[in-house]
Amino acid sequence: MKKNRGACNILPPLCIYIGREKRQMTIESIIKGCQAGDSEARRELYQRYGATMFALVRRYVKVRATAEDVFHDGFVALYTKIGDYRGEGSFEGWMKRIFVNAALSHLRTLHPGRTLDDDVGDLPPGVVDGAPPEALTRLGNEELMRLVNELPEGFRTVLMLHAVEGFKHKEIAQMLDISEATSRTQYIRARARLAELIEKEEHFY
Amino acid sequence: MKDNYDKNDRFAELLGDKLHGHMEEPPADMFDRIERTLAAAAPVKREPAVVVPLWRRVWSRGVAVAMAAAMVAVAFVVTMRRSAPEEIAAMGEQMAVVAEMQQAEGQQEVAPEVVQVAEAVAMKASPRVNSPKLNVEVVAPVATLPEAEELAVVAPKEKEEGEAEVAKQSNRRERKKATTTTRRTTRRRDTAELEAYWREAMWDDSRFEAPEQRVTLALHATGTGMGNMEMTHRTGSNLLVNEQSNIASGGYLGAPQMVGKNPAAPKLEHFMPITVGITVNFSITDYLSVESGLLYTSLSSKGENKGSLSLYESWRKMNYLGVPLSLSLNVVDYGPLALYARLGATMEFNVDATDKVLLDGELMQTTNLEVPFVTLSMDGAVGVNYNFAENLSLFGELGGSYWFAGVDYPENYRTVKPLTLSSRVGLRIAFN
Repeated sequence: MKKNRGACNILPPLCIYIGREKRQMTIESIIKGCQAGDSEARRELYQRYGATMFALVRRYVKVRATAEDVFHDGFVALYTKIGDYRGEGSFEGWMKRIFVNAALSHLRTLHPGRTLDDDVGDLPPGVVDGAPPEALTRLGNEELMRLVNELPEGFRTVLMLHAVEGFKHKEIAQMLDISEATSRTQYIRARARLAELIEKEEHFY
Repeated sequence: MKDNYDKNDRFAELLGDKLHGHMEEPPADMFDRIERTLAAAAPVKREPAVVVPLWRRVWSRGVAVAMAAAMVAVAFVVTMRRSAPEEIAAMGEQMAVVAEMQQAEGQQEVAPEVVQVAEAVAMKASPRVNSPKLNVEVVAPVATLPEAEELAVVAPKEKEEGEAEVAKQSNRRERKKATTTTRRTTRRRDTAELEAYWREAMWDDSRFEAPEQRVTLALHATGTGMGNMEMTHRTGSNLLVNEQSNIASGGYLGAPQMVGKNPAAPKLEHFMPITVGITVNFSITDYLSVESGLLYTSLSSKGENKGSLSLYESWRKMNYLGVPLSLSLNVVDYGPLALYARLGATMEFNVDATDKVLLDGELMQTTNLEVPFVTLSMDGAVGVNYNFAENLSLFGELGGSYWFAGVDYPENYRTVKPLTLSSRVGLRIAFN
């Protein structure tokens, strides 16, 4: 039985055009739809940003199964709090904040009371002994993530927050409840350690 | 944000470029899992609440309070009411009959005993009734209806109780003289007996005293149940099903499930209801009294679901104003202690019912619950009253109560345990 498609029975090209317009929802309409509780809007948002946010969470949470839980909690918090988004600043940046906070909350739960000062490296600050930065371009993303995951948790956290998410050390200090100087020191040590790991990786191969 | 790092930090620049756009596919069923969590956290879809205008809400609750106050006032007036002039007139007429009989027998003046009685009664009097037949102004006694009836009924019977010596002495002369039962002899004997009764009554002050009429004001607090009620932890494996069915049946809007892999078992606690009240107790007889007043009851429950990184809390609060009505029976009096039993019912009016959901301590949503405005409960207790000062006493009660819940009433302590023990302590102030 032929499905009654209304006007589309007469003008199929029009329906194709309308269909395309409908599929490409603007971010504003997606946000409005999510704020109104529209399931389709939520699905659209998930499909657009899900992979990016999951990769973000994986940068902070090593174990994949745990990262899935954190990712789930992050999206639930996002959908619940999306009504608070006032359109100020980038939506993607606001969204990333939510997932970063979710990941950091998880880390705090794992290590309550622990400070990054406990997580010290054996390289003195200021000394970089490892592969040059250009070595990063020779590595694939998966390889790079594998090496990043070998870093101690504190190093990895500060490194990701500063180098990848782009937070200032002052912001990182507030988020992690550490001093700005500690954040800088941890970052330098993390960078040095990662460079060392990359050099070892290159020499091995 | 990418411009926040040191411009000379080539490492950060390249690392950021590499990983900033990196994507990794989440599990295929992740979105469905997220949707299920959101569905479980969604408030129960109810019919749009009827917006009750503020004036109507205030009016309806004001009517309830006014009704309660009116009940208290009516009970107070009824109990404290003194006898109508009709009873006073009846006593005056009785004495007038006595005077007539005396005058018919040739006595010119009213018997001094009758005058004495009238004067004695006048000591208790407030309103005045003129009795022309007696040619005296009888100050009518202020007596309650039961008192007047008691006197009217008891007087004929008193002559059979012990045959007071005063009656014997006054009648002895008449009895000796009377040889035949004539109308005059009978009337004379009845008159004398009545006089003797009144003479004796003058010395027995208790006949003129009203039975003890006490009005007491009580301030008290009642605890329902034997403590807070922590519900059995539900396992994480079937938590979602429980939450959905519970919400669908109009039950408790508990904290939603958050994390699948390693959740803390959800926690649900119903706090013990506390009732505070002020009641007035009116004694009907020496042993029986009626009590009414105003009560305030607070019910609250808390649900908690802690995931690996977030804490969901749900708070349910319901407040009631109640009007109790109960009967107390004084069982035993022993010095300052008194043992009594109480049975009653309470009509409660809901004034507030809300659910609040918090995420990590931040208020996410508030829902007004639709509950029946009026609920009923019955309660009974046995109590001990300790009179430690002239008009002050402490009391404690132990009993039980049953709360009649409606269908689909939002879950709270009472819906889980409608029949429960209750205990009350308070202070009574007596006004005589």
